[in-house]
Amino acid sequence: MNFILPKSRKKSFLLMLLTCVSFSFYAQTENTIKGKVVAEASAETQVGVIIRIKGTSVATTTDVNGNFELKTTEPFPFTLLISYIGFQTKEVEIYEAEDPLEIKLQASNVLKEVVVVGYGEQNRKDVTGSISSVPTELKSQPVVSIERLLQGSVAGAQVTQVSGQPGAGVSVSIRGYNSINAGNDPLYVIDGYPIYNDYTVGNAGVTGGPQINPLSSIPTSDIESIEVLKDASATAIYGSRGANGVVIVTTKKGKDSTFSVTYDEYTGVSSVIREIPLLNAGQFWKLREQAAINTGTYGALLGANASIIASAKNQGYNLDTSGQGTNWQKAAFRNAITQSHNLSIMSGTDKTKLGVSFNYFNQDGVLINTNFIRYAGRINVEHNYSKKFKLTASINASNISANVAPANVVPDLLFTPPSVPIYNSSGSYVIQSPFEAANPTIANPINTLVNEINQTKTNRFLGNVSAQYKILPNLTAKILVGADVTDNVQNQYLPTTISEGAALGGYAAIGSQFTTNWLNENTLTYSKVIKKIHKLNVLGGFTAQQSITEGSITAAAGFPNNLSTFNNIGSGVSAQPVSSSASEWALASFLGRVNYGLKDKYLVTVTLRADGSSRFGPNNKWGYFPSIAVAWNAHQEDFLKDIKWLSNLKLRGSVGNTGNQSIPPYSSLSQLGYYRYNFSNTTVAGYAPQTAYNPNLGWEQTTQTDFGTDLGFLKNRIAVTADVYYKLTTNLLLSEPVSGTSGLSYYNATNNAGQTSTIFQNTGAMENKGYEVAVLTQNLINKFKWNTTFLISENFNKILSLGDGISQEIPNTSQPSVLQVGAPIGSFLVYKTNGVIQPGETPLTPTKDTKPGGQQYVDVNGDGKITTADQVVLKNNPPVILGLTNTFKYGGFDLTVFLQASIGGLIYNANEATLEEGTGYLNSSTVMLNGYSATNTNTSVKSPYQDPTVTISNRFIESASYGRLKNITLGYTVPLKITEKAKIKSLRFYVSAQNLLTWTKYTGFDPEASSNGQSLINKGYDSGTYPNSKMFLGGVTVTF
Amino acid sequence: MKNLKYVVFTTIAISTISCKKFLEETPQGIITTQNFYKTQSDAIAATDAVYFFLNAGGTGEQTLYNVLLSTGMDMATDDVDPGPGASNADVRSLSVLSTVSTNRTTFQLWQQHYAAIGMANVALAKIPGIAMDSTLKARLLGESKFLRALYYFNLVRLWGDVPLVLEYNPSAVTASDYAVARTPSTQVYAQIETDLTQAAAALPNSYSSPDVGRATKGAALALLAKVYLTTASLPLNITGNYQLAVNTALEAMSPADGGSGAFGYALQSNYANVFLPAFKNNSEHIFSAQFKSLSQGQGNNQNGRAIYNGVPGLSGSYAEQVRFYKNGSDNYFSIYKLYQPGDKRKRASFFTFYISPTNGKKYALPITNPAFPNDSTPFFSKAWDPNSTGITSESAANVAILRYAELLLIHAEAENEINGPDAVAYTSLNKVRNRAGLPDLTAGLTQAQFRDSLYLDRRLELVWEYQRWFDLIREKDASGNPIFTASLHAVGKNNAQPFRALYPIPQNELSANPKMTQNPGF
Repeated sequence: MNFILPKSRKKSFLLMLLTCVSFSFYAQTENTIKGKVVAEASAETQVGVIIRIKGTSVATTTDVNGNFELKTTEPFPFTLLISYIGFQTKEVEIYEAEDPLEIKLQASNVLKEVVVVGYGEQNRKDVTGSISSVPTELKSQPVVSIERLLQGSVAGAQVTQVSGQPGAGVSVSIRGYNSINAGNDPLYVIDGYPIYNDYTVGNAGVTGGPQINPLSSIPTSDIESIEVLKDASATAIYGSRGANGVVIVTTKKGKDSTFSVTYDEYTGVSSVIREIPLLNAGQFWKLREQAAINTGTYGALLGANASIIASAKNQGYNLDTSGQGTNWQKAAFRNAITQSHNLSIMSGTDKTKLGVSFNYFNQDGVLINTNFIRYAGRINVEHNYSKKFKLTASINASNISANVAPANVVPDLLFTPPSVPIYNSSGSYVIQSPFEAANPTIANPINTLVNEINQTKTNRFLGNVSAQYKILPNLTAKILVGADVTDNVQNQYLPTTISEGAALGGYAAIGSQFTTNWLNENTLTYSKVIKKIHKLNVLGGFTAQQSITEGSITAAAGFPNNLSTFNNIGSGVSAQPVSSSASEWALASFLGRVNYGLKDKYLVTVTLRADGSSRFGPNNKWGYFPSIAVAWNAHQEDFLKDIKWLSNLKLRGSVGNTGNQSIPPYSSLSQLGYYRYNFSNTTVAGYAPQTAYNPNLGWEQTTQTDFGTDLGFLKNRIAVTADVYYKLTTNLLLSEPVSGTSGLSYYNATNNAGQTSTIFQNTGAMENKGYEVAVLTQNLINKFKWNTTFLISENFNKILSLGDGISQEIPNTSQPSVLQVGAPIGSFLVYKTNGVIQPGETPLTPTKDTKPGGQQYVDVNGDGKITTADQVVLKNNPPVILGLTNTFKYGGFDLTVFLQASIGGLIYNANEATLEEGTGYLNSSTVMLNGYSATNTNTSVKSPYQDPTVTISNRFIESASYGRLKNITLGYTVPLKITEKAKIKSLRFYVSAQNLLTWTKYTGFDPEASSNGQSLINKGYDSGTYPNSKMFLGGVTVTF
Repeated sequence: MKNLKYVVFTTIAISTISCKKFLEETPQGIITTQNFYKTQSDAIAATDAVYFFLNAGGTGEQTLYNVLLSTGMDMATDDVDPGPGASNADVRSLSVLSTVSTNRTTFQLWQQHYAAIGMANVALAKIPGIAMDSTLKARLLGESKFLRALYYFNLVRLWGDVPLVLEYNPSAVTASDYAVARTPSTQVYAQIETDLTQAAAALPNSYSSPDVGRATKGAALALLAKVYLTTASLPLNITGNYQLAVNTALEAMSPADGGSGAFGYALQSNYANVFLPAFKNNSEHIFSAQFKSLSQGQGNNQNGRAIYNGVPGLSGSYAEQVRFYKNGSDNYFSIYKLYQPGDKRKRASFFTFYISPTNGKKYALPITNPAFPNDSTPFFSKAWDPNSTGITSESAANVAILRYAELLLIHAEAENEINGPDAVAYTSLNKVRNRAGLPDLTAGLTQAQFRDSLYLDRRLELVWEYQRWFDLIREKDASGNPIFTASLHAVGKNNAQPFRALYPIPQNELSANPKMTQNPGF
């Protein structure tokens, strides 16, 4: 070590020496600090406020009049920490036992002082970009994953819970849809670690049904704050990954000089929001006969009925042809229990802050035999070794496992005829419906739910350590190293006793996938205030991130028995396709940012990031993402200073470029596919190209312009933030359809069902424009407190181009979604219905059902027949999103009422489309009771018909608008006076309800449903989606 | 200067990662075109891939000769229907000839044929540049040409004029690079003939293990004979090609049957053995899609689809059904009723009951019509594998694409068209009839009578072998008109109209390829 201190160090050393001397001198004296705590806005005195001397355990609380008295021998100077629920913690420096203090506390839901931005923190007043924070009172909602907290609480965030499977999918988009093929999920930055929430990392490819959300590995109880970066100025520092917005999540750390142990527990019961009214057995049987009569096959039906009844008898059960029959939904849905236990320990000294937490969460699904279980542990440490050197570590480890509802189960619950019983007379399950028994979509769904093993398990480690060193007083270097390791194992077993496994003689599959993602960030920050008027902050750095994934799937069929399920895969006699895979991607970046503020009034931020991505072609690996923003704190100008009611007026403007790179690795290469065949009964491996080589493949670029204002009135009791923006995305990474004659289809040998030929390239453009307004008010601030948060945002999305000469693309030909130039993503292409064919009318229909009572369609082009040319595009713009939160506090009681609404938007009810076919093979909805018949001609419901051609029509497009009482929570905090005796710092009991009320005209389970998961290009397609649920819960939080 | 060490440290951290290398993609689980097509084994692998769409290679998907030509074509004929287990609306609408351009099953057919042709084109482009054994190289190129011809032959019959793509174009990167116009069907046929002629010159007469199942010279000649017969038939009607059909057929036929082929082709004495896995690749086989049981899903899925689903221990989906239709008083008329007494092909092509492997009982679907007491609905049995009753979808039964009985029928038909029913025509047809247990065809028939008899025998011989649709559009009645519409109307498929003899060009193809045009009527 070097013992010769530099000049500056010598000075500080002397200073320290002097202070030490003075400490010992005053050590014995006892002093009394007196004071009063009031709320800043109302001047109301506050009861039960904790006043603590920082770095010690010396503390007291305010009495009924808000006064406190603190006796201490602690030598001056020291710092008082004043903390109270609902207010920002305040620090007051005490140099002597002066006159009684008056301490003013600021309510914490008003604009937070410090916000976390990319690679740093900023004072709210210095921010030039558009950044929203999730309000404190909405952070404690009992949800599984982080994204759900954004729903209705952040203006501009559209969050949709697409599946009710516990732990499963959430679709998130910030400020609209910027991409067609490269993903629309925002970038999540968790304690500084950027994560693209790629569902494939938690999906080894074996488990059927909804996928489990990888972000569900992080308990929401760990979260300290969530910031959403929306405009280009805020996101450009994340360059190539910033186009879809950035969600910065910070987890809880210990605070200075505190030690607390908090235990939170709640237990809830969830149930399905609604059931779909279906026919009973007698009604079904009548409809079946009517369908045959209408089709002209009644004679044949009688024969078929006889053989179906006989076939059922053969298998040991009777068909119910006249009674109530089986209510499959009732048999499958249950009241499901959710349990959450959370223990956190926060500890802090003046040098070290520690946060440790453990979470256990167990949610049963409303469908029997489905669940989600999480164990998670976290350690956050911040250690200030010296004033110059700081070490930080943030480590989260978790284990999640889920029993997932197999994909066909929900359709089966709706479509299986009620005439079929669940069990046969010997008590074992009926395997298939005899009506169209072979179709696996009508396997006995209860049998499948109970007996199919369909599970996924994920261990995830997400951690980073960083070291920060002040090279010079104004210059700090930071090195961060982190890793995100995800191991996923999936198991499936289809026993011979269920329809899905019978044909294969039992089928077992095991998949495993290991993903290691590492990160290194090196930044230098220079921060200086020059002559008290120039505030300068300069950041520069280099980062590298790499991810490696390896996976494998083993499978076999033909098991001698079902005893060992997937655990003895070698005993299956029939070898099934097995696979393994490996993929890598890497990102290297240079980043820089300058924040400059003049007199705290005029602010400028300039950022530039250069990203190099392995995913792109050799000609286009590097992309450059600049942005600039300016802001004006106008209320600090002299001419506005005197206006008392105006406490804040800031105008902001920004423009910049961000990118998107979320395409699979190796997309620019010409990959070979593996194609198996056999000669002489010996398997051979063939190889042929799967993709075209595109050396020019590069970034998707989004240019965003944003204008915003932050307003505060009446000492910020009313705070308004409003933004308008325009985003233009060009060079879309489009999987562009090409002629099938290219031979470029069937690139994926495992999924070649009608696959379109495509090539990946940068073409096409899309725009998003919209507005966002957030209003935060403190309506009552006295003993009875009432705060309101209101949010509204709307985005207008439009596809401007899909590439040269292409005006339309259909992502999946059996679904109504269409990509149409001039229309928003997620629009539908459908035939228009025109009532039912009345006697004497000329039938206009593309189906065979041309008799009176058949569905009539609109001949749009007037050529006298219904062809694909008569399909029309129904625009499906993103909805207006509203959030309204009211919090009330009186004494120990607190009440939060959170209403959320989504107005506009369309959903295709594919379940209903099938339920109104009226074939008599599958069950129908009760709507069909009003079907056309000779005696019921004045109806819009067609008559049952046996063999309909499936037509995707506007009849099944419904409004997806809804309003929802998303959360209502009533809590009671036991007065400190009482709990103090038991050395309890805080004790709160609460009851809460999630999704208690939903107002919607949608006739399906839930208007948020989407069978296509996170995908936005074919969103709003509800085909057998796991239904969403509502939940009642009660819980307790206790802090020692 | 102390701070220097942090600067040095940071610099090291940055420079340890060389940016260029770091961002280079070196896939480990994937082979790329750049590092392939270099060795002899690469050449073989490139060729083997061209066979993939014949059996689906264990992907579990429907590919051409593993179900798709049934759901996408055979079900539209007068012999086959979608059974109760076939719930796919596209298949059901195809089966009643109300297909539209958005039909996914026909789209799949289009895509798979061109994907397979693409694989052939890559092999044909890359293999010539590989340093390897020259005989093997010629053979591999011959195999790809044979397969390309086979795929184009299907395409041109299903859609008429189709784009003729013969090149591998690795530098095409935009959609417009791939736009291609339709080629007149006569030119497509000319290319098929060229490919087959070249294939016949390059391919060996036969293979020994482990190569049995590859394309042979005999297969190329037999297919060429069939192509000539087809072009001589409707709709092209190039009658001069009948003679070419006869000549080419004779080149493949065995000397015992009057030909000059050295391929050892002969009819199996027992019709049933032709299809059973135990006799696969027998002397009657010319070219077949190869299936394998219990091996990564390479089984023939048609088997389970034909099986009645109420049989304990025998899981079947009953998605393939024999067409039963109303015909006057005979309420349950079908191809099944066309077999004469004593025709052994009836029992070998259909089951009327299944025996449960678990309880030994017989299961059948009784016909409820009192006019047929004790009669039962028949089930197709040509994909049956007696060894895979546990997993019926894993049948090892091959699908015959060309077999010797058909070659004899091609010869007989072409000969009849040129010379009337001469002795040679009778001989070839009677070989097929006699093997089925039927007597010689009545002597002294007129050309038209002989043609009708031959058509019937052809239909009964080749039922459920993906032939009927092509015959429906190719064959003519006594006055030379297509039998297509009348035959389908006769079995109650009343949507049949002449324009439906060609499929609609898939909607996706029309929107992705600006040079594409729709077939008339759609």
